[in-house]
Amino acid sequence: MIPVSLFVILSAALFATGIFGVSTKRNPIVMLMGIEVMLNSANINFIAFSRYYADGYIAQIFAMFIIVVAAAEAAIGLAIIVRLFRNFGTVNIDVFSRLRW
Amino acid sequence: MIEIVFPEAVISLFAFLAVFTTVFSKEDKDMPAYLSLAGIILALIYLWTLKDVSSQFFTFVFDYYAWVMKLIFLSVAFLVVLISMNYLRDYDDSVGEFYALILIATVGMMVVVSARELITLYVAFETASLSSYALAAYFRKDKMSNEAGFKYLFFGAFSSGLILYGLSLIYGLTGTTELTAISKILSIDNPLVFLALGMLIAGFGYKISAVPFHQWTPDVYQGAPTSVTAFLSAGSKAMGLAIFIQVFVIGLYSANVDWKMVIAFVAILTMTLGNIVALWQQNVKRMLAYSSIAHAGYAMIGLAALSPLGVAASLFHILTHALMKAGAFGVLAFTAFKGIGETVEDLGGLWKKAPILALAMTIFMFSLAGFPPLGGFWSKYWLFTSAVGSGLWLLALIGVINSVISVFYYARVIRAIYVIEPPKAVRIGQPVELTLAVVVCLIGVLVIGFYPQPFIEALLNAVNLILP
Amino acid sequence: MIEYSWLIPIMPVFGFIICLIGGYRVRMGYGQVAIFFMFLSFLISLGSFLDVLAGKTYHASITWAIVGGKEIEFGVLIDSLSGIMVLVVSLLILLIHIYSMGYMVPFIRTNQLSRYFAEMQLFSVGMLGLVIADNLLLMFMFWEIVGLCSYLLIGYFYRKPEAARAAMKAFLVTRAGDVMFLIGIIVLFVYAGTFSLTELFELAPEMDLTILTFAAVMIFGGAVGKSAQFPLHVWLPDAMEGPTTVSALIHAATMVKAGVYLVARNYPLFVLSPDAMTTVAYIGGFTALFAASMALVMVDIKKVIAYSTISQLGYMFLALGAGSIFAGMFHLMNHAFFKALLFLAAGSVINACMTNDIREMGGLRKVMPVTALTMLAGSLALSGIPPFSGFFSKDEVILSAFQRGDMVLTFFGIAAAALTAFYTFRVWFMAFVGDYRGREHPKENPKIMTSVLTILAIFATITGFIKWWFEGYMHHFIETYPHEVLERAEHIGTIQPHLIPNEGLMVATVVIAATSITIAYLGYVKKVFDPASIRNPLRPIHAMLYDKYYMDYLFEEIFGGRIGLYWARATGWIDKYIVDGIVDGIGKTTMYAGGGLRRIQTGNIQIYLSIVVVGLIAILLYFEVV
Repeated sequence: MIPVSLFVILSAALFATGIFGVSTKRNPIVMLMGIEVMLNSANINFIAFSRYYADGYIAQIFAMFIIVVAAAEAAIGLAIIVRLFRNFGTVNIDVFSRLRW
Repeated sequence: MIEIVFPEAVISLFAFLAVFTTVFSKEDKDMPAYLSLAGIILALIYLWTLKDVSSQFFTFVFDYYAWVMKLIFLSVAFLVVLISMNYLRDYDDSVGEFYALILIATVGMMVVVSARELITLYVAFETASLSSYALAAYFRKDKMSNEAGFKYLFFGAFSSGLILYGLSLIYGLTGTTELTAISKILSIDNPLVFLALGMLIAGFGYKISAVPFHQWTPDVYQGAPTSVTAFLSAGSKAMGLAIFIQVFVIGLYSANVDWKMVIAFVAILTMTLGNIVALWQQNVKRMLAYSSIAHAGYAMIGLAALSPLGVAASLFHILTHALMKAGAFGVLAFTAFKGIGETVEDLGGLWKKAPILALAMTIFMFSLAGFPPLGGFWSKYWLFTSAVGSGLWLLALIGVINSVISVFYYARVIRAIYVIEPPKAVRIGQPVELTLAVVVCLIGVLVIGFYPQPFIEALLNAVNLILP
Repeated sequence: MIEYSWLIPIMPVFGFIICLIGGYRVRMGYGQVAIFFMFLSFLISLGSFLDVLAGKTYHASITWAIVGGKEIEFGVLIDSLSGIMVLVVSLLILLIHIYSMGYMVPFIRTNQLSRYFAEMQLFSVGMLGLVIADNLLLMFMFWEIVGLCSYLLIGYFYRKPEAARAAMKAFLVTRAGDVMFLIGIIVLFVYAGTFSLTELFELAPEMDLTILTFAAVMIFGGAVGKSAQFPLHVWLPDAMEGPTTVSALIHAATMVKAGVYLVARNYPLFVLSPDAMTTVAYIGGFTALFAASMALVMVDIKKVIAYSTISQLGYMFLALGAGSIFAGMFHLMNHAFFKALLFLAAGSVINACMTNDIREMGGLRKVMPVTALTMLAGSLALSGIPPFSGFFSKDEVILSAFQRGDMVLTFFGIAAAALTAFYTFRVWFMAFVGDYRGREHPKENPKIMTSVLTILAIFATITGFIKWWFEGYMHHFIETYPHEVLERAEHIGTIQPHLIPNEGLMVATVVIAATSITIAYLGYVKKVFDPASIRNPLRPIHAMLYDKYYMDYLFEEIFGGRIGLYWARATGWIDKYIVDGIVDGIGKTTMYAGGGLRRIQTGNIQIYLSIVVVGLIAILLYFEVV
């Protein structure tokens, strides 16, 4: 059996990748993907942990919910990105800093 | 048992109806609003009959604490719908979705306070959050609104990533999602507990805009439609605090980590940064956003004190803050859609243009600054008392100093209202619904100010129920 | 009547509401309404005081809130101290209202009188409520109302930017004091579990001395802010921008006295702690001398009186700190009358000459005889010349310091007395003697103003004679303190129930004051006959230069060398740049810190997210370290 620590290391690596993606990429769609990666790293944790507890199905249900919520989040995110493109004519996030100070 | 979910069910139903009206007529801007109001009133009436009920429906728990918090959320939603009615009447597209989103967000908040289990908590939390993202970006053709929605969404999604990772670690350590069960197991010594707690503080800290997780607040508050700002500042922040209390005070109470000190430290940062940056703001919406940050800092004092009085004072603070901010943003919604503007100078001569709203704004500012005997004074008073009672002298001291600093920028608004003479100051009609909402807030602030007893008492009872 | 004493602060509430509803319409009628309600307040105060004299006290309260088993009660406490204080305060506010009717006439066209009277009424509510409140929290609430109203009143001429700035400064500086007051209240509540004054006094002897000292010093901090004591005095001279009646109200009778009253009211807490008493005495004594030396060099008549007020308040704290509540309260009452008189007389002069600058006055004795005479009475009282009221009380203050055996405090008292006599008569001689140097055509003011001046002058002349009666009255009051408090205080020697008259000291202070007046006379009256200033009455610059030269000469006379001049200049410099600078500097630093901090709000979402990560790492590091 694969030790749980390996899963945690994998998820931590994914999580870090996600954070890195969100905070460096200039394209909001890629940022959105970074967020999905972050959420999925949590999913990996849940699924991995679910094997070590008797009522592990709860963690699997949690993961299902996370997937659903992530989809909704992505939908709203994409909708907003579309509006941004219509109004600003670009999706480079450097432009979206009129609200500041 | 199932009757305890009826308030949420009613609100959800009316949310659906509100959207449904747009199928027939996009022009009718009042119908969905009236439907929403009807739904909220029905839910309020039904909720009132549930006062002494303590019951459970699967993972949905109903107790006195949930009851009190739901009352707050429904009242906020009611006020926000009233404010929005005038604000949105000139909007050039259908508004049914707007009210539906407000109602759905309210349902999310209401479920949050009934959640004693992580999955329910998370899903409810996201329901409220996702609706708020859409609300912030609701003015589709307004660049500011778009940008606000964009920032809110990315900040929120990022934070929910942190929260989920923290929750997954907590599940891994304890094997359960029940908060009380977690609390029993989590006193173990494991570095992962640190990691999980840090992530949860960061993730939930975003919702109550605790420094340094606050940076979306000014931008979103400024860019979002003003009635949405009122909703975020009054409702969303209350939910953030409720989650903080549930997750930390119930779930992580016994965690072998000194998270109280972190909260105390974050509270100091939050108060101070919020207040001193607010000094610089010309845009009143943005100034009040920073003031919201500062008030989140005050509320965290009570959490750091972690006594029943402290936690109750935090909730009391959030309650008074909700009333003051809903009212203040209501007034700003008025100035925005009447074309008066949002900067401090724009408020000049408001006394002559709209006397009732100007007077209300003055009282809100005084209350926010913590002048006795208004609502804002009592909440600060109890917060500082609880901090001293728990031996957190420095925290109380910095809190008091901060409330002095804050007077400076609130006074600027008051001065502008009465002193600055605009080129022409003609009386402007004060729309009925909006004025009603502002006056309700005003009465709330005054009643709580002059007779705080029943409110703090109710919150103390609620807190005593959930504190271990 | 004493059962109705709770109505005292309620009466002006009606006046406030009526004036407020009056909105922006300009009508003198609001003044009459305000005076009517103030008069009712005064009558009730008088009735209550008569009952107090008959030996009654009144204490009633209602429960406002019960939180966590601790009750918060609000009520009214009329005893010897608050009984006489409420009488003095309501009388003075009434007189100032009446005087306002005349004084505000020229401003009818430009400003809204209903607003003025509404603010005055609200101020009266706060002040009267503060005096009769039976617990600290209620006191604090009224205290805040008073502060708010003084902000509004100082900024009454809001179109003047200096007025707006002064109002803001007063507000913020006194708020700094309020913060300390609130901290003191919270500490007492946490450790004693009550706000009620009477209960606190009972519990005080059992409290930990460190906590008690801390709380007492914090409460005194509130008094320092409100009563403009060093180093929070900076707001008061600037606050002179308001209408003169307002200055009179704020300074003479009420707002600044609130601080002294606060200490007197909580005296049982102070006397248990020698350190707190010493703090009070030294801050008071130092302020008395410091502010008096500032007053020497001012040319603005209102600023002279403002510094003089700061100095006299210092005397009161000196007496309280030295252990004599009698001397402090006695000086407070006398000062209330003669300083109100000086302010209103100054207002009358300013109204006539349309300037605050004493260099542009002179010879007004002939055209304004009533003002001149009444102001003379006030000046004699302030200088401590017998038989005017100031003589009696100032003597008691210095005596209390002397009897405590503290020579530094005694020196503060006597030196300040010398300076006081000099600057007071410098103003009087420059304004009323000699020839007129301004451009206006001053004439006596309307009857309504002079009659108030006359009433106050009579008070300023005679109130000193109540000394013997008042000493017994206050002595009787001290005996009502809890037994344990009195015993402890007498044991540690913080309280002096009896002041033994000392003729030598009395003669010495009078001689010193008389000498100062003589020097002022020699200087300023002689100077008036100088042909140069008669020939060039329209050249104020010349007069100013001349004046300056003469000042130098006078200082040489007084201090026997130029050191005195340098010292006065140095205190002036220190006040302007160091004390004021620090107070301003704290404000500016806060502003700039805010300006810098808001730069991190760049508007770029990815920078926000990076900061979140940094914050997260900081928290994790903290957990790791602990």
